[in-house]
Amino acid sequence: MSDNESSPPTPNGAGFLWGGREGGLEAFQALKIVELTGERSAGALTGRMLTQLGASCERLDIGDATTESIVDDASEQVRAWREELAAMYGAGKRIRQQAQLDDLDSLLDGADIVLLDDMGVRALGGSEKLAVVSSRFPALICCQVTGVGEYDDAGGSRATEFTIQAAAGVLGTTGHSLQDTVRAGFPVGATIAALNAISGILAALFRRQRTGQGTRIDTTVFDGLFFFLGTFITKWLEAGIEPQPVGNRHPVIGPWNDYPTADGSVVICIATDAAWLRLCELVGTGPERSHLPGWNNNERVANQDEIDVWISEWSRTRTSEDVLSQVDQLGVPCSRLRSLAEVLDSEQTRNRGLIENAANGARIARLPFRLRRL
Amino acid sequence: MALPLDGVRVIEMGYYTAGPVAGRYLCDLGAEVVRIEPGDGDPTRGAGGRASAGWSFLYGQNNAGKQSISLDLKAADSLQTMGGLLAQADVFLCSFPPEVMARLHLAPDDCRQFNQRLVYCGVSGFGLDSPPAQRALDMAIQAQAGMMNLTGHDGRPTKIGISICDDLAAQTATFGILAALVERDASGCGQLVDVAIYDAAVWATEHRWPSVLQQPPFPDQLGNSDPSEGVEDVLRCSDGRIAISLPWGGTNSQLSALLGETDGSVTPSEALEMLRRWASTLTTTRAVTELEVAGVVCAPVRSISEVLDTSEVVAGGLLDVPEGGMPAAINSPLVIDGQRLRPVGPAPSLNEHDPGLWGRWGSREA
Repeated sequence: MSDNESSPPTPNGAGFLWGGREGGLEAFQALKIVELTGERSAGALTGRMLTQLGASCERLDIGDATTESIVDDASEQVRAWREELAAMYGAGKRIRQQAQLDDLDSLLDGADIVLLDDMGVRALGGSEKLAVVSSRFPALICCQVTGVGEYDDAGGSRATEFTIQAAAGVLGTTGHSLQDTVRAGFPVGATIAALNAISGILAALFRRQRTGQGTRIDTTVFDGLFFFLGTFITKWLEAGIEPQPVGNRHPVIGPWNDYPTADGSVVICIATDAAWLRLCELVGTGPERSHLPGWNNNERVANQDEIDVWISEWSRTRTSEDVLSQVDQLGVPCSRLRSLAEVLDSEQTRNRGLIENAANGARIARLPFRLRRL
Repeated sequence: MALPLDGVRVIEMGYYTAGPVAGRYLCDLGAEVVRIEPGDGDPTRGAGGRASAGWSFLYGQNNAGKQSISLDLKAADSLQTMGGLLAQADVFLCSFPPEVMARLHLAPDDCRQFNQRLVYCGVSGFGLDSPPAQRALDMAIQAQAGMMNLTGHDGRPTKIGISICDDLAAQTATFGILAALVERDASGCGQLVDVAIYDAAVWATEHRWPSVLQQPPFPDQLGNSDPSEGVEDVLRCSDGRIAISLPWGGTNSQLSALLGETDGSVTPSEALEMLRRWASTLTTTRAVTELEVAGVVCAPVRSISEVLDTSEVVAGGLLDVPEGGMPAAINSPLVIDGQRLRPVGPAPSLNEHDPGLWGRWGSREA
């Protein structure tokens, strides 16, 4: 993707920080990261986030089989997407071509952090080698972020984002019926794993500032996804009920759903008794549904079929704009369903400065938080 | 084991997921996290049924290992009490709307007077400078950030099953707080971290940006495939389903042999169609075994009960299920120096740590 006239402006300039500290944080300026990853893995995303904080990152090119194997059967459209992704994940990094790992000590000389994914771990000769590296460089922070780690029920190091979503239960709990579940529409596992990895690294840096001690960090895509399955797991552990996909509902809070309108659909989310009472008043319960306002959250979740029919009868006679306007006035969370292109071109996205143009020409996401001195 | 955040003190105010899960991450990393709850407690204590006497599994999961103090923040002397706590804290993590924090006189500028080295993290739907009326819950943000439109097939936008926006905001808050702590220790100055759930959600879709902005664009909904990775879909077997990933680059000789193709010219898309027919009469176990021998990346589409039995969960120490009881919580996704991080204890009962906390922290005139 190249810059063009429709490119959203970046009101906060090239950096993500408030307060004029463009180019990263003071504490990260002298940090050196060595990255042994493929071009587009969770590890590569972790490395890029560290460069956005101000660190310098050198990616050792150890051969990316997934990129190199692309041949005639991928379309130009796919190739363009992959090339753009490689530029996005590589933004801000220096690449050392055809790096030889037999002299690892010199490659790691002066490094503060070494970052590996499945490809890096394989190139190094296994995760036990990382323990050896860690013992040779006691102040080094070693982080491996892999698909499933040493356990191979999910396909070992050959697992992909899709197969891990299936193995970890995310695919089985997303969708409108058990036979028609669907993956998340973006690499949710890799994204979560990258955020876990960077949190582990930053916690280790915090400790190193105080003690001089390095740390070994291990996290996986599988572990990251599993950590967020609590609302589903509880049904099985508490009552032995196998959780089903919940469609557009929430497993334990409600009512949540998408509702038809005269010109589309909108989503409405109720999480408190107060919001529920306000919605009851807006929609109107009438004598035949006078029991609704008295329901607590657990009763609403158990009876959401009835509630959905009632809200839909009201919403489908109104335009989306009308419904959203009235529900929003109640202080109840609601939204239209926006396309990604609309989102990226929206005033909200521009005002928050969520997109930046990297030095290599790629358009990338700014770090997802803002920071300034208190 | 010494943990990276040993000695770090966190004060936390917030309900449900985004803020409390960030506090849980910090707690697992070694921080002492104190929740401030109203007299009748966080409403999440009862959400989804009560697994234990005092809380639901959701509350237990999000708050394991923390401490609880009950405080009426509308009472005249509560601000003084909060000031005493914040003066000794490293981090103030709050996920009430910015206008609520302002009404409580606990906005960022208010808190600076208590502690100039404080890391203040505000988690909100749309940012600390957003209009007061904007409200956010997970699915509304999934819709607004384009995630629901990216997920699903046959034109029906679909919510990702887990509360992904809240979860991403929790991770982002953890990330921001840790970066701020590192910066604070280097500069000596307190830091303000502004986390918007909307920002975290848009950030997470970055992988899909080229696909919808290039010409011609891909559709938002790609069903079970990610063309940037290869040819992917679900195969139906006689007793279940399998997720399968075939990389671009043609099929290998083992897969060609499995499909009865001898010239090796079958494309990944053609192979997928052939595999649909091939798998339909096999059990999931048999199909996975044969595909793995053929070097194909695949995994069964698991139910939750099946996930809980996997070696990743059991041998990996992701969930400790006590005899005849409920687990306190799912363990951390982080392994530090070879040790899986686990909560130091269950979630706290309401106000469990009053007055013990004051004895250790040395404030609050009772």
